[in-house]
Amino acid sequence: MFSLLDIHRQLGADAFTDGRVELDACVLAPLLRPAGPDHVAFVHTGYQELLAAGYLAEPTHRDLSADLPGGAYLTEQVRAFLAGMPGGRETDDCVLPARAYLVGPAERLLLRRVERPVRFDRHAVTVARYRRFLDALDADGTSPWDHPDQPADITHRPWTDRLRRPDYYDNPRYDTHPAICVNWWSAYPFAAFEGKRLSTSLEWEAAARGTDGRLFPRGDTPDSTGINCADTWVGRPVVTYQAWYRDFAGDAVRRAGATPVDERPGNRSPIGVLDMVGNCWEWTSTSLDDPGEAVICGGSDDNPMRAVQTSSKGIYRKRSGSNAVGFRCVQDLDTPEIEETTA
Amino acid sequence: MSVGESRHGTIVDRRPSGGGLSGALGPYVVRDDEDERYYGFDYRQIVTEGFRTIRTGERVRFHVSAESPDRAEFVIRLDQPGPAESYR
Repeated sequence: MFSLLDIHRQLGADAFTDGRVELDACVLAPLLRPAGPDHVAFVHTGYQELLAAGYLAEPTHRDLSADLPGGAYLTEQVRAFLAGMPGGRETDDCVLPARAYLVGPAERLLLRRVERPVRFDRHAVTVARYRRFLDALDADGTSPWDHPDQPADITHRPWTDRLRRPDYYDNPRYDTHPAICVNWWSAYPFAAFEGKRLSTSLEWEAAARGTDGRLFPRGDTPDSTGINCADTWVGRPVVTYQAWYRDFAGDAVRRAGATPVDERPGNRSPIGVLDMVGNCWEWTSTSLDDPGEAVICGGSDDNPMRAVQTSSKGIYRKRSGSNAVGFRCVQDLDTPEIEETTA
Repeated sequence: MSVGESRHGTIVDRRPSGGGLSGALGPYVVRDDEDERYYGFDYRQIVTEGFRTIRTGERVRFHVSAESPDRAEFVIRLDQPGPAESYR
């Protein structure tokens, strides 16, 4: 809502005919409706949403909006306008700058601030990297990097009884595949072993969708050939649960699985992080009400395309391991840079 | 195909044996809140587009399979956190 004087101030006298600052004399009158004394509003909310997106395109404005008391909630249309605006700068250093980001599912979009810059690993942790951690364990199977609250019966050995491919951690052919069937209590010390940590779920989503809030890492358009998801294994879009059950859950689910982390260079986030959606869910450091659970992000090979978006999240027991869950590390930028080894 | 009305129940057992060489599909057991009968199902019956898992003690809505009267299907989780919870 704004006043006719606001229009005059912004657009000048030419915005009115006959020198009258009144609604019926405004050249924009067809777009406006009265909204109280001397005030008008747009007839369609789409105009307001376009203006909001234009405002939020400025990083300083996003920061200001993120700090509004009670939080700022946005419509999906604002996000779509924002994602379609030119000027989103892409980088390749995997560094997530500290600023406000548009996050959340379409029905609950919000702005949240990342307080410290972090560098993401370009790839999810691979089998070969995890094997080096296993080689560094103490004789009793523990490690110097274990979480202080780690339950006594936790083992850092992958849950091989559950692995679909029993030789996954022994056969070199899987060296560049993601480290899966690893529980959260083991992902945590692995990250510390490399001088890193798990990301928060907010950092993870911000790194995947960038400043424009895109739905997929590479943009708003799904790419059925560039993401490892159920649609890939079925060979066509999997639109409903019934379609997933009929077309994927029978035969395709036995063929599907995680594939090498460097196999999809096009599945790239605006800061250069690869394969964040699809292939495998990724552990984060974020817990909700139950400290025995953590948030996982990004979806895996057995979810339909619609569920492998930058905002996709699940909750999983920290002590569990799944063929569908791997992890990725981040490094705070106030510590010396550590090179990621890809295999 | 499922039988009749949807039912409400509570997950009373889950076996962490999904996957592996056997290809077993993470079996769960739900107890009907009303008649206290037990029904088994596997993770594929969880109606979601996202990550498929259920905790013991969780409340669900489900249907009984027409083909296998001791099996639950179309299992929907009822105690899910709100979408903004992950961003606290």
